[in-house]
Amino acid sequence: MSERKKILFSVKAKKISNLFLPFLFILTFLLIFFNKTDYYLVYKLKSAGIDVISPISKVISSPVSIAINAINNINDLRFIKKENLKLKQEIIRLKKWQILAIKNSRENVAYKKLLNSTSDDTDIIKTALVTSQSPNIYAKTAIINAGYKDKIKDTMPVINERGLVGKVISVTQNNSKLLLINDQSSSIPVKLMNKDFYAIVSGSTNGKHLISSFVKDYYKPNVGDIFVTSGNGNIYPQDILVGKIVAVTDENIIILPFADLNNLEFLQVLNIR
Amino acid sequence: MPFQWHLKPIIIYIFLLIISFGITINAYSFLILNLIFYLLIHFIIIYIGIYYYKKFLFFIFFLSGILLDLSLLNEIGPHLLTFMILIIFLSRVQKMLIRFNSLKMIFFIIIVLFLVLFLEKIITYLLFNYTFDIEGYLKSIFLSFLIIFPVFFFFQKIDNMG
Repeated sequence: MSERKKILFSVKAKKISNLFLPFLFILTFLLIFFNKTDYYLVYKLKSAGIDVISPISKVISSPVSIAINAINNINDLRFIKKENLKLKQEIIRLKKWQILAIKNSRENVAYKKLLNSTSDDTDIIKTALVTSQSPNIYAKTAIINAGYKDKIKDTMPVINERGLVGKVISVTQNNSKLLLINDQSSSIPVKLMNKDFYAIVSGSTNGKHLISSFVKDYYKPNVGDIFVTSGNGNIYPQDILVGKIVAVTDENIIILPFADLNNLEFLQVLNIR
Repeated sequence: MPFQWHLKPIIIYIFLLIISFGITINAYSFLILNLIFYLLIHFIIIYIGIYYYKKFLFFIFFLSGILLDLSLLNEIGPHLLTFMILIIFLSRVQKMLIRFNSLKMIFFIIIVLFLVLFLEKIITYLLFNYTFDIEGYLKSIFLSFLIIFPVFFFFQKIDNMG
């Protein structure tokens, strides 16, 4: 009797295994198809990935992170004297700028009052910490520790103290995933700070620079010119610093982003009114 | 008993796969570290597909593909599709591989690795319009040659544990 049961069990197991493989292949193609059509299920899967994969991978890789931090700390200690001197000079320089900035800020407030201006169209929703960042292998993304509970929504722009960083592409209860501006699939409408020259820039393959994918005029900007967001498309607010032109070729304009996209720490999520 | 004979190393390989995955998807100041562990994931996937072929590997390949896609691309496609193609390919050539000596096997694994990396980049370009990064691909090839012998030496030690 038990022998018969064993045979029946093995036949059943074989049947299940025979069904399992086609099921996996069908699932593969369905997932790819749903991913391309932005199906809700795949969006949920991606969101779950942020909440589950990221913390687990952080724990797994923590010994490596600790070792790398220790190496970096030792390296920093070697140059501490030089760095200190540099910082002292920087403080003197910044103090001069601070006086000028306070004066300009007062003037700005006075002029806005006189003009009855309502130009300030952005709010800072949340200042969040970057919990993990993807390597420069494929997409350039980062995860921050703020989500639905902090009123963060998809496509909200993200900045840091230096300039534009990216936009929110996926939100969960406590975390959000950002697409950085140096990713190849990002498109940022920009304009020159000192001229009405408009372009769209996106990330390059090396992830260090931004490259113009569309230029409105035939005008060739100069190396050193600064690009700010143009506000077109209503995803990024106007006049946020993006980067500085480092090279101009016949086909492209190459821009170095102001934000250090490899060492992100605190970011601010904005809401456009 | 043959099941137990194979079980121990395969668990170590899966454990290695999880660790490599954790290190790959977090960016460090040494960017090359991510690439080395990314290549190591591919080495492990190909190696267990050849030497420890079992039906449950289909599920391991499926899971690895989805997790890599979600973490590195935030999309689903290139790794998942490549790994599923790879496991079918390996299941078809199993009988032919028995006749290979160790040197031929190393060459076979290297060639499969380059093809897998190439296929991933091509599918990424076709599905999501990411430019084929030739510089990155050449860097991967160069790094693979650098790490292949230490990796195989380490894998042999794991195999001997069984």
